[in-house]
Amino acid sequence: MNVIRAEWTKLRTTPGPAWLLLATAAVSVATGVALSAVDTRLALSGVYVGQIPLAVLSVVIISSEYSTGLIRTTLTAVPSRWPVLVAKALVLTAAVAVTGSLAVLATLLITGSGQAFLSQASARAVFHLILIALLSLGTASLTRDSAVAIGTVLALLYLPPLLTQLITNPVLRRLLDQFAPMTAHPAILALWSATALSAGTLMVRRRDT
Amino acid sequence: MTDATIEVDGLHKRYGAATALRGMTFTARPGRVTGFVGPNGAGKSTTMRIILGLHRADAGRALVGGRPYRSLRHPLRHLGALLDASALHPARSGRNHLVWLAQSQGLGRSRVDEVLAQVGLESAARRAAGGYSLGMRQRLGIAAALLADPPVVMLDEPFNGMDPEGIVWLRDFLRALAGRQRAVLVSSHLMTELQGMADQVVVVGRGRVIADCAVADLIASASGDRLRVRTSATSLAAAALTSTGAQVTETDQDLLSVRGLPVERAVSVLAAAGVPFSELAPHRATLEEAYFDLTRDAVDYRSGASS
Amino acid sequence: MRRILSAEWTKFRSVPGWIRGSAVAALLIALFPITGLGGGPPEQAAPIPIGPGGGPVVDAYYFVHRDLTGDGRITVRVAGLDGVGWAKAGLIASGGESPGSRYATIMVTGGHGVRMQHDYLHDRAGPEPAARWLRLTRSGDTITGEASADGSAWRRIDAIELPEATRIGLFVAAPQQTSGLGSAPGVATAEFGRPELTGDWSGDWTGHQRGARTATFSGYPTGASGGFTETGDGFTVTGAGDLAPATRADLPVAAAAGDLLLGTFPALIVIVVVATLMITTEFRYALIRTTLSADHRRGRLLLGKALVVGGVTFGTSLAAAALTLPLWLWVVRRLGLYVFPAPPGVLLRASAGTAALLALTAVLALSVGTILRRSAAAVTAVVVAVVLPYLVALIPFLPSAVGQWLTRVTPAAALGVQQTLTRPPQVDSVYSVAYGYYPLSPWAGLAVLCAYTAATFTLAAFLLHRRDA
Repeated sequence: MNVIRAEWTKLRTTPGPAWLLLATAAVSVATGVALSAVDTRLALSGVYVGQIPLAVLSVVIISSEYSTGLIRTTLTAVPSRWPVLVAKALVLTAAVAVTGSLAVLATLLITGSGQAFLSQASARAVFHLILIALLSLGTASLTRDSAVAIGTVLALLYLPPLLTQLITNPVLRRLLDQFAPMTAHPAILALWSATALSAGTLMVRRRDT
Repeated sequence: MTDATIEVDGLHKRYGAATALRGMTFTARPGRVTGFVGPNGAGKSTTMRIILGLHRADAGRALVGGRPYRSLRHPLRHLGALLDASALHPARSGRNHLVWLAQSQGLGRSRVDEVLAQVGLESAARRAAGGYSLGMRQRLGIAAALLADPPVVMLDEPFNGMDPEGIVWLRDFLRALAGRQRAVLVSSHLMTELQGMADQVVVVGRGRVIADCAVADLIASASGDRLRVRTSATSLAAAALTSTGAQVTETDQDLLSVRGLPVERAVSVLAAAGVPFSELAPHRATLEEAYFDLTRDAVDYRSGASS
Repeated sequence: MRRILSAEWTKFRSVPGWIRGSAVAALLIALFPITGLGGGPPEQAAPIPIGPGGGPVVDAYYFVHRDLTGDGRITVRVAGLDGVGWAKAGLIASGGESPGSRYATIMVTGGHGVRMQHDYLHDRAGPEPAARWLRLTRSGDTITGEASADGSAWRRIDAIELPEATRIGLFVAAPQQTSGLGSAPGVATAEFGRPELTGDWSGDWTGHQRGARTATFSGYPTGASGGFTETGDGFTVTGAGDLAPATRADLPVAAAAGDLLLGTFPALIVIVVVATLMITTEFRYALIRTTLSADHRRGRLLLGKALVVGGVTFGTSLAAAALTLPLWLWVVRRLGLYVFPAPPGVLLRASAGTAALLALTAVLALSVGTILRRSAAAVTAVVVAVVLPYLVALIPFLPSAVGQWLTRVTPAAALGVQQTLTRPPQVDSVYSVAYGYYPLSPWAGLAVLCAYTAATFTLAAFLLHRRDA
């Protein structure tokens, strides 16, 4: 519990995270509203662009500790190490759940379909944001470097949709769509996030810092 | 060697609301090791960054060999500096760090191997700098400062993280540089590091110079006219000496500090009173004491963490 | 400048991660097409007609014809054409039965006036667009086309050497109708007056749908079919198809050579990471102070870094692309996938353009890294600026104008340097980014990125100069 409070304080006391969360919400809403001009069913697709600042935030939460050497202080305070990552994940999840819900609600109100807020699609959009945040967090704890981590996350998110352009075989194409983080069912995306987080935790535990 | 000087004249610098320098003025001369001391936050690093043209002063100027640093064509041939020993890319080897610096000054690689030998870092030179100890980083930083064999060498806190052996080596090294008519400016927040090495000290606090004098003068002024008297009979001795009008304080067991009495007079007074003493000599203040006398009012962060 | 260059080159080569990154980027360009090979080529039932120029063509139309021996002439009035755009009705001299063989036509079109066309690629407008009288004359090996507004004053449009022409007659064709990013089969019906024939004509008027079983023929709309009826004073002919170079929309299963440069995207991300780190690590480790105390000319420092990372990127990417692109083309063709032909010059331009695109992106990343001084933000900004507009342009349900606009004004315009397909002016088709057609010409697209990079670089140099290090 203390670890969670400590991580919450870290998140709260630097200006970066708040701005990036705001950017996540703003970009999601703006893109969603713009897309709904084409087709109202696309209103919640804004999260596919809004996830970008969120990925930056989730990467920086861990990689900035490595670049400043703060990670040593953090891990000295919690020698078993894994609670640090779990606490970061929980704090991030809470922050994204709130931000994402507000963004989805705002999008639906602006596009005039506010009553749809309690729908499966809304829950899926918020869930998507949370899972992307956790995937980024896990990737960053694996790579430690923010540039490499964000590059990896952006590649995971945006390369498969490009790749499907080249794949002519329909079966492979469908397979790629089903497993790429961006287009996959939330359950598959959750698998991605869980894998990245557990690999990250394992590495943080095993590695010298 | 006329260009072997650093002249700092009336530097002012503000960072937003914080004032870092308020009229910093001093000169580092050839053939001397100039200590640049002051508590953390006194403006030492800011002054050095301005000397190197990294930061712009709001007012005043800093000259290296009579010229602004930024007007120098091969600056490292005029001034070699070590600001932050940790300023290394962790994946780049120490040797390659020196190679690119040498190339930037149009120097050959043979010079790199020479300075590596000078600082005793040949064996580790081809390893990634990320694995270096702080002492090794300091040596690498000093090698970088010496790369172009400059007439002026400026080191910011070079003793940080050095082991005792390293400290002895660096003192001798800097003395030798001064012996070859180089101007050496060494900053420190610890006076003891400079004792026995610096010829001149510039003591700074809150962005300006508090004292700028030869080490000998500084110690003499801090010593005042005090005497050290070592005796087993401290109370008897104190009574005898006080009767002459001198101020006496007991500084330690068996040790008295006497103010306002010449040595000869003290000897005769004690002899007349029949008080035995094992030592009686003028007090020689340490540089540390002199420094504390001077900076007592000038400390911004008395218990600030060391940077 | 030479000293800064050699110092910056030493800095670059002495960080193993950056060298590895550059090598990985080159490998991604070279090897990434392998990901597209899985599963083999799609089933392709019908043959692709190849025109005399070597490129794929659409060779499908409703043909009502007789055979002509020796010299002769056919004259006809097109009384009406129910069709739009490039719907065609007129006279044709066919050079052979096999799909893709040569021909010469003179025609009335739905929206482009009277034209004379031959061999799929060549198109010439008649002097009087409203002319409705057409005639083809064969004299020796030469086919001459003439048009007239009144049937008496004739104006020659063109003459074509076509010795193999024997079958001559009426034809009607209607290409696919495009709307947004989709297309649907078209159909057209024309009313012809009775043809006047001179010379030795044999056989009866017979009609058939030419090219019905070719891959580039999209068929008739549901419920429609081709045919001809002889009326009292002429013919009514209904037809579909086209006589034109095939575009990607005609051959969705085929690939463009530019597709094989898809490795550009993963390579771009790696290169952006490396180029960003080149400057952000200097800030992070305060190494920038050492660098600037060794040489205070900050603009030149940035230029030195840009030349090093740009040069390395250009060299490795060019080698990777120029060497492997022909190899992949060969492999893919051997595997049975049809690839639109592209001359060696175009392939070289696409390879060199890709290398330039990556080098410019590296300099952009270096500049953004200098401005932001933070790796994560800089990498994201550059990847988003270059890749995201392209990705959005691929989204099928967005209006095509959005995609066209994005690939015109954003840095993603530079991806147009990889286009290996050209837009024939005499074909209306789906010219979308997804199909490999860009709104700007290759070099103009690259110039857009150039402008962005130059502006960002200038701002970075200005800020580096002004800020305390």
